[in-house]
Amino acid sequence: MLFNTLQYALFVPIIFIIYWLIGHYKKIRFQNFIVLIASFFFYGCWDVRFLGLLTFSILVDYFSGIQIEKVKKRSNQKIWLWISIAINLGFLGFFKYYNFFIHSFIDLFSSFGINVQASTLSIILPVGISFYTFHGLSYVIDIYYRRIKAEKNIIDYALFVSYFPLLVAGPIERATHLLPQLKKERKFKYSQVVEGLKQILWGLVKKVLIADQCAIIANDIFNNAEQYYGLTLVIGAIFFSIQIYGDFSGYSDIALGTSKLLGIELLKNFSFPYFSRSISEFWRRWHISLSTWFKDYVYIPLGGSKAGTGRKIRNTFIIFLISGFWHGANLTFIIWGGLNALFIIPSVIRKTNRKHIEIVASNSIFPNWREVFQMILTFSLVSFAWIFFRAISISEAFLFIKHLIGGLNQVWVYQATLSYLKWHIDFNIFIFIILFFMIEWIGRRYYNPMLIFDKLNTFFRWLFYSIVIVLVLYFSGADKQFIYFQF
Amino acid sequence: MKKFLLRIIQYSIFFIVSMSIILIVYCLRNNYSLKNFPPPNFSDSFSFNKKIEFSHDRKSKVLAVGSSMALINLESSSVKKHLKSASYTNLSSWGLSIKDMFRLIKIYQLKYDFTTLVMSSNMCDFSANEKSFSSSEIIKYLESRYKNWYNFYNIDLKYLFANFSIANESIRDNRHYESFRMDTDGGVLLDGNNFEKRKQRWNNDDIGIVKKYQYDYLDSINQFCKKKHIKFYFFQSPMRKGLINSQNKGVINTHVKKCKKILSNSVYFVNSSDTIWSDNLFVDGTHFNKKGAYQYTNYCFQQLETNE
Repeated sequence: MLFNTLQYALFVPIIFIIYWLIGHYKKIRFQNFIVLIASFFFYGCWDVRFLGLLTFSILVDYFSGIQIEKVKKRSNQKIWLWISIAINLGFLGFFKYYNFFIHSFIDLFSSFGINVQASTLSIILPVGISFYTFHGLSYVIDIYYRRIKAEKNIIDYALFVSYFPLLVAGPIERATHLLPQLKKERKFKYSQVVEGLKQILWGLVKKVLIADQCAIIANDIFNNAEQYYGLTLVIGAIFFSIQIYGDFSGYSDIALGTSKLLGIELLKNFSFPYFSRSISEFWRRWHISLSTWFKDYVYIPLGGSKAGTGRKIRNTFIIFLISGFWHGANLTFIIWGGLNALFIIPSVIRKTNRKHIEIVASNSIFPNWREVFQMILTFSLVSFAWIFFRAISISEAFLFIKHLIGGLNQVWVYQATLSYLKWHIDFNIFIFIILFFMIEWIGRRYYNPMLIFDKLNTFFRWLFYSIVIVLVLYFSGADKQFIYFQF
Repeated sequence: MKKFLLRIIQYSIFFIVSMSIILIVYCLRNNYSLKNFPPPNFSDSFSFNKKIEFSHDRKSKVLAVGSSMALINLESSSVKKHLKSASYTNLSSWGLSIKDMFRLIKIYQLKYDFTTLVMSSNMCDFSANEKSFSSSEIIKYLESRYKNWYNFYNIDLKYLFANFSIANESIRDNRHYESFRMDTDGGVLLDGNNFEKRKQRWNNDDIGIVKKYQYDYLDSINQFCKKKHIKFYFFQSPMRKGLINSQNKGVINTHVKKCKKILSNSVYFVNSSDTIWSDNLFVDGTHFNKKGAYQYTNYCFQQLETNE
């Protein structure tokens, strides 16, 4: 069940009504139970078989958590922690990386002239496995480091892992943030619910009007990269950068908005990343829940920024390479991670990576020229790295770059780009992109840029929402997958 | 909660009223009505989508499946007369390839359990690009009891608005190639006297480049019919006299021989390319007009009856 479908549009109101009717009688347990059932139903809509794996993962971490707290000796606690980590990563490794390792193993031996016979398996990758595995991992690690107490109520814990708004593509929640909310009485707050609805609408705008429209161009250019040169490929890379932002942050917005309808606040996952003035700022604004997860559970345990410069560089590379590998069992993702690490290293060496904490031009309407240059440079570097993220193979990514650079010094290539712009790109897309970034820019100081329309009077505000809803319905068409579901 | 529900009701009324006003004005200005509501979006071919929609409410023992060579060239009353069956449906649409036909025949078999298949074809069916459609989606639609519910559930506004004018045009008259004014059995007869011929189509003697794998799909259709005990009629549709030359005649003959070999003796095979067809029976190089379709259909069945 995708977020941008009629099924979901029917599913959410049903859950919403049942949930708050029960809430009226102040039964948190029943509310949690209802949402748990809904979450399992939501996940089972993909494939009922996935539910077995999810249940097993929940049970492993639930019992590991209790055991870590129960046993007194630190060494025994460590054993339980490693049992949980091994099972979680074992599952992730088997379902996501088994075939990748087998292929790499065969390739490695064949490069030495040794033929190895090993069979790959036809494994279906369970949707969202990378996300709920990380939920479980953070939970047991937090118990081990005594940041939280083990959850005794299995329903509450199961809900923490399987909570439907975040189950398949995050944000990756922390037990310290979500579990206390699940245990607390939730009151219906008009402002929170309305804010949730606005965030869902903004998420749909990002997905349907931005990501899906950009995907038409990005897919065409990336799938036929051998036919295109120079600026046309630059356009492809830019459109993909916008597509992935609209797609993933749109998903996150719908997830956060849906959760708000149920009175539960999730971690913010995106904060205007394309207005960043440096790569380090970009990574503080892009997929925040994953970045902070890696920071807390990998980077800091490795020594973090307290170690010497050499260690810091090593640790930065490690988290970016792991982050790349987390996205998929393909060398393209690892190179993407490596490139981002390379881009961020200069600021780590110069100790400027904590600069730009505030949003750009926080006290003015427009950025200064220096900030404009910084934003363009950051966007260019990020878009360059996205080429590897989007390409199916390394050779495809290099062919893309070769054609891109090779075509920049030939006049006919520019003519071809103009002709591409004229014949292949729908004018609507430009309008949508310009309006979208304008609204994001004006609303960059708000949690949700749509809040800028709160200043309008009711009639114009409602008219604006209605037009946006109609546009979303008009351009939605057939079901379109979210990119991050594959991870 | 009460305040929220009240606000939702107020907004819903505002949304329905304001958007209805805009929609009604837009539809009135463009002459859109429920009568010319576009069919569901199964593929990028309006004709194909329209035919799938047409097939939803029907159940026949005799089916014609094919491209425009069957849609326009088979005259429904003649088919029914010769096959002595009133239970007939022409499920053909523009531009289908043999592979598409094979996929559709398998789908229709599930719904219709038909006993007789009529195909009218020529080389263009073997050179056409395949349509992109989902068999499972069509099966879901055909099996749905309430097609309007399916339409609502799978609504695609962009497609609907883009196709309202095509839908309008297609039911307007039978003087254009876009005509989809079907007879009760799904056949389209293009008016011979007033038809607006397009010069380019009239003079087009390009017979296309056959994709060899399409012959495998013809064989698959044949095997499927044998397995399901379906009577299979295959008619080779001709070109108008004025376009035939020694070069394309040779290519067509080779093609016909190949088809005949694949279909062997078990199929009712008629090659109408052996006969000269006067130009006044056509609306372009290969599509018959009303009179031509009548003559061609009768000719094919009479050939078989004579041979019997």
